[in-house]
Amino acid sequence: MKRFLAAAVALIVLAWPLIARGPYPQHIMILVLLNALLGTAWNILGGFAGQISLGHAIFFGAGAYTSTLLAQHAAVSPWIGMLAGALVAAAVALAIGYPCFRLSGHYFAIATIALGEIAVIAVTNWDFAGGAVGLFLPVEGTGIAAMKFDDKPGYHYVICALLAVALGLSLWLRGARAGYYWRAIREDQPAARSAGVPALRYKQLAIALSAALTAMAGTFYAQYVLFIDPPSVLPLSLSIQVCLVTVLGGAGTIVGPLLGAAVLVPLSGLTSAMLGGSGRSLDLVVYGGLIMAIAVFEPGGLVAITRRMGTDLRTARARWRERT
Amino acid sequence: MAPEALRVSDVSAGYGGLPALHGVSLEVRPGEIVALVGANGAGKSTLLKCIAGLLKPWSGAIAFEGRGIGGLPAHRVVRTGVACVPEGRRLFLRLSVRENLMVGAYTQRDTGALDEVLALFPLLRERESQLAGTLSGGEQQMLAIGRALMSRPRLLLLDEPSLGIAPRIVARIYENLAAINRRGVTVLLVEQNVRAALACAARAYVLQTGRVVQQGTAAELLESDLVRKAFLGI
Amino acid sequence: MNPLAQALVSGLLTGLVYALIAAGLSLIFGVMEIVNFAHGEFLMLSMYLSFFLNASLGWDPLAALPLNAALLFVLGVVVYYALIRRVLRAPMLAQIFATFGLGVFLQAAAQFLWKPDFRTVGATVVSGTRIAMGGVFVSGPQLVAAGGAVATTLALWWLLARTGTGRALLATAEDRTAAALMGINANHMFALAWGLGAACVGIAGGLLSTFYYVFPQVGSQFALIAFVAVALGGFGSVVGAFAGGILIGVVESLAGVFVAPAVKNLFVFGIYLVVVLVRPRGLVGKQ
Repeated sequence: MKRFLAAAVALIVLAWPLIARGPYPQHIMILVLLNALLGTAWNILGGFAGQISLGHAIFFGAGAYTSTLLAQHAAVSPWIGMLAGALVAAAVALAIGYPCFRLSGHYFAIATIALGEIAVIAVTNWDFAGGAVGLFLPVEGTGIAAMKFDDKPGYHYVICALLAVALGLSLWLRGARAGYYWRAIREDQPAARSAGVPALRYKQLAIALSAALTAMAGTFYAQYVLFIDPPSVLPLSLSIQVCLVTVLGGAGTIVGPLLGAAVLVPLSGLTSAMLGGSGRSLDLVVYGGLIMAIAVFEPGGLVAITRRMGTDLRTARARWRERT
Repeated sequence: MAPEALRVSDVSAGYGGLPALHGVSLEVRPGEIVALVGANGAGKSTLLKCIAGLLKPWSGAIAFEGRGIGGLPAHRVVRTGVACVPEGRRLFLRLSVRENLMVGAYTQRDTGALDEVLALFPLLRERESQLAGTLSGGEQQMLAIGRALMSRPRLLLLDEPSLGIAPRIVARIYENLAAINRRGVTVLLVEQNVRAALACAARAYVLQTGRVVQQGTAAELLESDLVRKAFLGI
Repeated sequence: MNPLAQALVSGLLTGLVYALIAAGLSLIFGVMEIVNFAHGEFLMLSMYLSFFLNASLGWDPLAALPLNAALLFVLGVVVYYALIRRVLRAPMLAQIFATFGLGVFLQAAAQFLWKPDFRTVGATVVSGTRIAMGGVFVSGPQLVAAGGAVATTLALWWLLARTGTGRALLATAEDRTAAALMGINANHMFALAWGLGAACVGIAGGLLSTFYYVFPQVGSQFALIAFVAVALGGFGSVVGAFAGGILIGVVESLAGVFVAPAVKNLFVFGIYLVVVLVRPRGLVGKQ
């Protein structure tokens, strides 16, 4: 049943540009998929390995800025730029992880917030990267090689491909040794360590992969919107958004980030937030309320809620059968 | 007033679904010293925790001076007149000796018991302003007992008071316990050191895998085969 | 005028206010190992309280300080019972998100209700005054704020070190089970910690409003600095957090004057990272 559902959803998503003809619904779907990608990436570090990062915008920005600057100054293809961005982000991630993974839980989260703020200040004051003004990407030169399209479907399929890569990686890792070690670290790091799990190494693996995928999303965003600046690719609100997508859907599950993105994007008008760079504060009121509600009532997110409903439904059905 | 100070009736309890006590009953009469002995994992500490309010029993009743206290949280149990010296002492290491004692008097209107406690343990008076973490094992145990006495309890529970302490000091602690008992405080103590416990207590219960397997006066138990073989190596 | 001395004094005064904010945060963490990610928003709410009392009733924020303290105390207690208590035994993710969500919610609500405009509080008893001491100029409001911060922190210290309730708080912080055996109700202590922590930040907000702009994001700036101060001084140590706050204030001021104002926060965070690398539990912290 689950596989049939998954296949059906995948089919709809792939066929979307044919089903929904106008640019607006196509744009919404692209944003859903982009957020799903960001959530899936965050999930590797925060969901699987249990290290809560509230500074993931650093990696998003790293990807966006690396590919854009390479394109501007060295005429490098955005695809190569995307890989370069991923490498840069992974390097930054490892550099962050090395000292910060000594910190546990709350302390680590705070460190990531501080680092996020440093990134904003640093880039805003860095003229080479456009400073506060930002960077524009050239509008001409479309086609797959340039990762630039005149209309939405092209972008749609690029983000589908990226998401597929991320999901495939997640699925594979979850069942591999890394996935087991991450679970052990997440549940009880001291116990995991004494059982021989090399905690730092695997946490570094998680953050590097998470960062690389996030950076790829950043490059995509740059190519899609054709303008980047610190408030659009580096703000704390973006880091919050990335977390929320996963946590709302269900951290630690594969489907969670997808569910979270599918609910959150249409619900809260992320559209204007992402494009305009200035969120409507009402969105954030809702985010804040949602985050608190999840924390208090169901930290497992929508996935856990649907599972519970599923169990309740089955028990109710069984009881009804008993009666009749 | 009920004839017994403490009555435990058919208590079962455990941790996270795993049972540690199966229908244990015992009683302690006013002014007695009663010991609970048994091997590691027998459930002695578990029972004490139930009485002290640190663990909620799954079933059964616990009554102190006729009033039910089973299931009450620890901070309310102590107000009924039952104080507990926990396993490992659990002192506030970053507070001074004096401050530890003052915290012990939290439920009392005044700290009048302070002088009595310091008179009982002159060693503590010498170290009054030292941090509890700097005391030796034996001194810490005395402080822990003193801290419990600050709430002027009528029943004192002790969980393994001799654990990790040199034999000479253990003897001194037991002398102190006898003195405390003479002043009218009923004592229930859990001990792995069976000899010391039976030398001090009037009666004892032997626990094994969560059940009472033997009970009687200290003299009776010292004669029993079970105790001699299992604990005294005879 | 000696720029070094000026920067030092100015930094010290600001640092004392940071120290008060950090002390409140550290108290909460010390007693129950939960970081209040909404601490900055408590500050912001207190500042808006001062602003509205001043704008509609003409009250001087300094005179209204007891009200700030009282109302924020109540807010802290309410937040504990309504929110924090439910995540005490929840996974860490839930604990982080509970206060983090609260912070996001409060800041956004403030922005929605009161608009992002920068507000200033009207004339207070000390506005516009400047004092010259040995070649250094100090503004009246800043001096009063620093003085108020010192007074409040001393009061907090006295409460913790010299009263039965304070001892009970410290006992709960160290070992809540042993504290329970003494008759101390951990829940009450937790609520008290939240109330006191919020009251501290409430007073800081009232003091700040006499010379700082009031706007929805003002809390975030100070909160981040408070986190860094607490991390610097050591989570769980009120004294450490206090020292951390002062240090940050001075560093920030020196960096702003001698390097460039735009990047002074880089120095602040830079120090934070260095401390994290070298001594993760902070200068005085418990671990």
